[in-house]
Amino acid sequence: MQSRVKRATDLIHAKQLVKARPLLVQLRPEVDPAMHANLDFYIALSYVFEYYEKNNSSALDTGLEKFQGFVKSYPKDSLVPLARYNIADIHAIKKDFKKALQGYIPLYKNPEPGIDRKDILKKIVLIYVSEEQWEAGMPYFEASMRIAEDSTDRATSAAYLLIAQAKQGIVTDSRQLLQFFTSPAPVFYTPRFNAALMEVGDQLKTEGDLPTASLFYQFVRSYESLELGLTNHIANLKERVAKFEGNVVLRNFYIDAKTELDNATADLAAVKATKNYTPLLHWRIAGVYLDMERDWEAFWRFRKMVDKYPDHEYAESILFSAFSLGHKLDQYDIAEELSKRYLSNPNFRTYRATVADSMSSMYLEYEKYEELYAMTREYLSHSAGDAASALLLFKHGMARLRRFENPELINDFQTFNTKYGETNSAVVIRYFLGLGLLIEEDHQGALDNFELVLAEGDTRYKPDASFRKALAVMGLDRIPEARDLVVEFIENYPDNPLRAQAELILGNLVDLLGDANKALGHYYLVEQYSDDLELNASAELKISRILVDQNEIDTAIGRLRSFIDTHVEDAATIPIVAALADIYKDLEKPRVALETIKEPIIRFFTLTEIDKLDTLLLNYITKDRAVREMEVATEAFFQEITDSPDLFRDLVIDRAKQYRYFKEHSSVDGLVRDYFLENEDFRNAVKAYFKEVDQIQAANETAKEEAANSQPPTQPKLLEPMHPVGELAVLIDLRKQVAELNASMPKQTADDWLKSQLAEARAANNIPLELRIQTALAKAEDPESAPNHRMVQLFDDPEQWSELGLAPKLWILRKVAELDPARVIEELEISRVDYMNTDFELERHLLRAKAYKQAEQPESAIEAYQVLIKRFAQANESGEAMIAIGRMQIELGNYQAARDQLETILHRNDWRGQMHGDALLWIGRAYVAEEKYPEAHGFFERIMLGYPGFPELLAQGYYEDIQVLKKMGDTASVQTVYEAFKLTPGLEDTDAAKLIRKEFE
Amino acid sequence: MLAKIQSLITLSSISALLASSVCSQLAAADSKPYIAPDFTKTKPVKLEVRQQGGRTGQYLVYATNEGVEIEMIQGGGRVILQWGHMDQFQIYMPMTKRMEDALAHPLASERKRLLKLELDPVLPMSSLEEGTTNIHNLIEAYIEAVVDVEDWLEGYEISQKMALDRTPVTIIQNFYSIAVNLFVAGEHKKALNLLDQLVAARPASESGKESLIVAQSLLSLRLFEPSYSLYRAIASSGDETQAKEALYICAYLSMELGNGESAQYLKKAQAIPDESNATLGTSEIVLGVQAFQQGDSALALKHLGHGLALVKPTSHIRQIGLHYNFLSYENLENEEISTSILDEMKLFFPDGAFTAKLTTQTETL
Repeated sequence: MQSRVKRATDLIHAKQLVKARPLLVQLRPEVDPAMHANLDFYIALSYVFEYYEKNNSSALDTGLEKFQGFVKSYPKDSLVPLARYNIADIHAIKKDFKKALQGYIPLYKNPEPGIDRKDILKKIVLIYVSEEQWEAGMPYFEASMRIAEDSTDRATSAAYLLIAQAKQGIVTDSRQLLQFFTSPAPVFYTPRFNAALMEVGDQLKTEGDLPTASLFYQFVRSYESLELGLTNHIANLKERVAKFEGNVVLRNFYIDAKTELDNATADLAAVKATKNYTPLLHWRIAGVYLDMERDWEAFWRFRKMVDKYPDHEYAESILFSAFSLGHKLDQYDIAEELSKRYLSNPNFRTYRATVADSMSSMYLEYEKYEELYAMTREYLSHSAGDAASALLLFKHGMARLRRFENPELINDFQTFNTKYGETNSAVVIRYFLGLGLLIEEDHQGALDNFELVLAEGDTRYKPDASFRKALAVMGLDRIPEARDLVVEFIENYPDNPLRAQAELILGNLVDLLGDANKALGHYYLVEQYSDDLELNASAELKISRILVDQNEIDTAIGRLRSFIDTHVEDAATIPIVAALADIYKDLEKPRVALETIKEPIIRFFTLTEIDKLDTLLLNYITKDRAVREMEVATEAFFQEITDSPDLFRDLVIDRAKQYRYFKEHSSVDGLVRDYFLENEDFRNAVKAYFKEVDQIQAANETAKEEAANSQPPTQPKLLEPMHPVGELAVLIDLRKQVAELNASMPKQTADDWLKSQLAEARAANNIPLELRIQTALAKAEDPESAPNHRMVQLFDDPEQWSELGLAPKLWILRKVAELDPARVIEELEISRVDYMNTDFELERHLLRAKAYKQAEQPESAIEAYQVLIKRFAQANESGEAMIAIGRMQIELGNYQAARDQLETILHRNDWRGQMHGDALLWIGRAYVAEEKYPEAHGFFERIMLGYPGFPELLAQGYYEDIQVLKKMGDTASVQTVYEAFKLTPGLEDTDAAKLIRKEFE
Repeated sequence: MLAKIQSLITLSSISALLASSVCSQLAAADSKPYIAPDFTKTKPVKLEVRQQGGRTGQYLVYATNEGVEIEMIQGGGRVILQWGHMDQFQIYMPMTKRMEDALAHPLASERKRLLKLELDPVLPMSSLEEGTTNIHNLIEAYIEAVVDVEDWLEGYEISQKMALDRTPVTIIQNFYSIAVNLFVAGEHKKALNLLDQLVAARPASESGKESLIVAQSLLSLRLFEPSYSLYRAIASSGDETQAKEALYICAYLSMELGNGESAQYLKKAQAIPDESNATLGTSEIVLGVQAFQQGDSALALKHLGHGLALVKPTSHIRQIGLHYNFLSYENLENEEISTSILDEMKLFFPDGAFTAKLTTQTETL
């Protein structure tokens, strides 16, 4: 037995317990019972060894059972602490950490001989860390740091302690943190520790300590670092495990290394399973900067993630965050690139509307209209009908409208209607289509679309469509219906922003229906609902017109003056000034009119960007010159009637002569004319004077006769002749009044003032102002004078050119067009929007059409004239444009088209006279060109019969009719027409008359 | 004798080759060539000389500009050894009682004083080949004592008694930090001289690494001028990535120094094809500083934000970025944000000169 005991002892010393177990079991009944405890302990331990050697987990259960039995059987035995240690180990192996800790902690707190407290502490620390019980583990982390044997162990424990403290809200001095965070200790490569760091960062962020949160986040190792670090660590551990494997003596080393390897392997697997890890980390860092409003730092972090994690499960949110920040930072290029990336990915749906909406706003802000239009088309091609598509369509439409791209608007929305008219976007498409057609005066088309919008129910477009529908109906001349629709609109939407505009339109409508007083009521309401001075000024102009018509001129003047005084610094007053000046002019108060204009001229003179002033300036020059001319003409008139009393008498007595004279001498002061025409006191005084003159003359004649007949003839007693007409009191008084009025005018004429201003502008090298003056002076000439070479050269200087006002630009461009119409066309196309809705838009259209004609592009010229006609249908220039189109169509051989265009002139009653005559002439010529002579003859005949007051036109009619009749071989009629020509007075000096005479004489 | 002459010829040739290599580096670095101290007037020292055959004895050893000469006691004349050709001899400083006491003295100042007495005469011997002498270790101990008592001037004096181009790197490393501390102590002239000498004397492979650490330290201390000297030299090194980054920092430092050379550095840096995160981050931060200096704070924020997202959390360039980020937000009158930046700087760079400057500036305001 002794030998068996010795063998068992040897095996135990050699740590070959599994091998020793049968022997121990065999010996137990044979040995002294005092040895039973020892044997039982080693038998129990042998099961733990078996577990390690054979990975047999049931051995572990048996071991646990045996150790528990041991403790129960031998509670006072010296091996009990070791047994408890093993029990705790078994619980730990079985991952029953709670029970393990219940075993380890008493052993750690109450040291027992033979038990290494450091080992126990290490295990306690590991359990708390793996269970992430940071706070509970704190005293053990602290102890572990204190007793650490090397820097790695110390850093590990310190790191755990740091987390535990931070979790409790205790953040140590950052120097210490930095020291830890920058150390290469393996603990920094464990996912658990890094996750804890991140959690601390989260906690700090929640508490508002953003900089410290950032510190924690920024030291969390990235996924890539962790993977690399763990892989290297595992490689080292594998070497260690291999080194100790099978070495019974170094079993503990093996177990430690193996455990560490298993842990590291599990960590690596955990890391590999969480691909989100790094993006989430960067997300957190970016989030901290976002919260600190350090947008650029946040942006770049998101931006880098966009490229790095394109397939991440949060890729959409990452991209959206980067885009949002790019947009917030107003970075056009960045936002555009990111929006394109987002919108082109069909899987990204969540923020589609926001991205599209934000980017479209940016396109508008940066005036990238083509990009906006392209974006709408692209977006609709795959997402028509969603919320964003409606937003895009709205911005698309608004951009087209603001840029006056109406034909393009109609074209776009017609295409959209065809493709997406059945989607949820139909309402917005119809709405803009209606707007476009309304502007193009396709009122029926507009009405159809607005009605479809209204049929959709309570959409955001309903109020606006209701109002526009009324406008379309108005365009169709259904005035009462239009009025009712506007009234309905106002009733339904009293607070709508269009209210002021609606009141203005309603005023126009009721005025058209003959109720001027009701119209006034609506015009008065405009100001109440609008802060828009331009709109308010329009209403004021309407009001003043009605008041003047109602002969409430003082009230009209008072309102206009009040408007000007209230908004004296605003250029919106300029049209009001012009209207007021016109009223004064009509009141025969040209000097007051001039004075009214002068004040705003001086105020806004140097502001060359205010284009309305250029018009007013020309008005000013013209009026000033007229007043000066009137002064001279009136003085000449007084002289003439003084020298010629008979004329004076006739102008008072003979109404026919009076009419003819003042028609011929229209420059004479209106006051004087009024005296002669209407002032009965004056007229009676003059008449009395001449009556007395006549009576004296008659008495003297009688006296002379009586004296001659008396015998002897006597000296007649003649009455004293009347004083000269020039001494007539009423005339003196009239002259005095005129002189006083003239004295009220400034001595300096508008021309002189402008010349002095011109000198000052030149001295100051203020080229835009110099050009404003030069242009106004040139345009006041008839014909308009041309700019000189120096001025024309400004067109080649982009910097200077951009500073010029629109009036000087057009003046120069007219000259440039003579030599290089293509360049002018290009410039006018580029700057189109600058001219829209200004005083010079019409002039631009005219020049554009002429430039096309000069460039020998008649089709484009016709198109340009048609745009002009559409935009300014009521202007006389439209009639001229129609004539120009007719002429060009004839040249192109499009005779019917020419006539169609020219005939539209004949439908306009307000163009009766020269314009109608010209239209007839060109219609006749169109027939001639087409060799339809009888038809041509018919039109020339209409001229001959209907235009006696237009000698040039009439003579031309005769001439061309003669030519047609010749071509028809109707010589008799030729002669008849020629005779009629000869009998028509006033044609002698016309150009056509010369041609006719040449042919016949 | 013939063998000795042949050996001398060979060694001279090698020496010449080495010299030309160093010269080319210096030329590239746009620095003055290094001139080692003149050893012709130094006194001989009695040292223990061990020969390969095992013969040992104490001889008078003369340091010369070319090498050492060993006075043979029995009238054997002098053995001349070129520096760096010590394979047949080992030269030791006898470990006397005085030496042992000096080394073991617990008080650093006293240790320094005693070691100076012992080692000052052998400082020229630092040129001896590594592994052939104990003198290097003793000098290191001496310098350690000097560093302990922060006697930077003495450290400087030591450096001037050695041939820096031949002294082992373990000793040389101390001089870089001594140079930094001389700057901090206000001894700019000496510090600059020492740094210039080190850059000129040391091979690029070694000085590149050491210089970079020193340059970064100087930069962190806002000692722009010496930092600039070093970065200029680093920028001329062969490593493109390092050179590119150094060129960017030269551009930055030129802006700080107002020497008008930043544009040329930026151009050179941009011409080097490397776009690592670190380099890109540095370039963005430098561009941010440039925008700030040109008065465009908004653009500065764009570049700085980009750079800060790329550089490492404790990178020295990051504190420059944060510094100008602070100033840019301040220019835009966004005090809340600039305060958060300063808070971050205090956490990440608690001892940084940039942090200190802004803290003082803020407190003054």
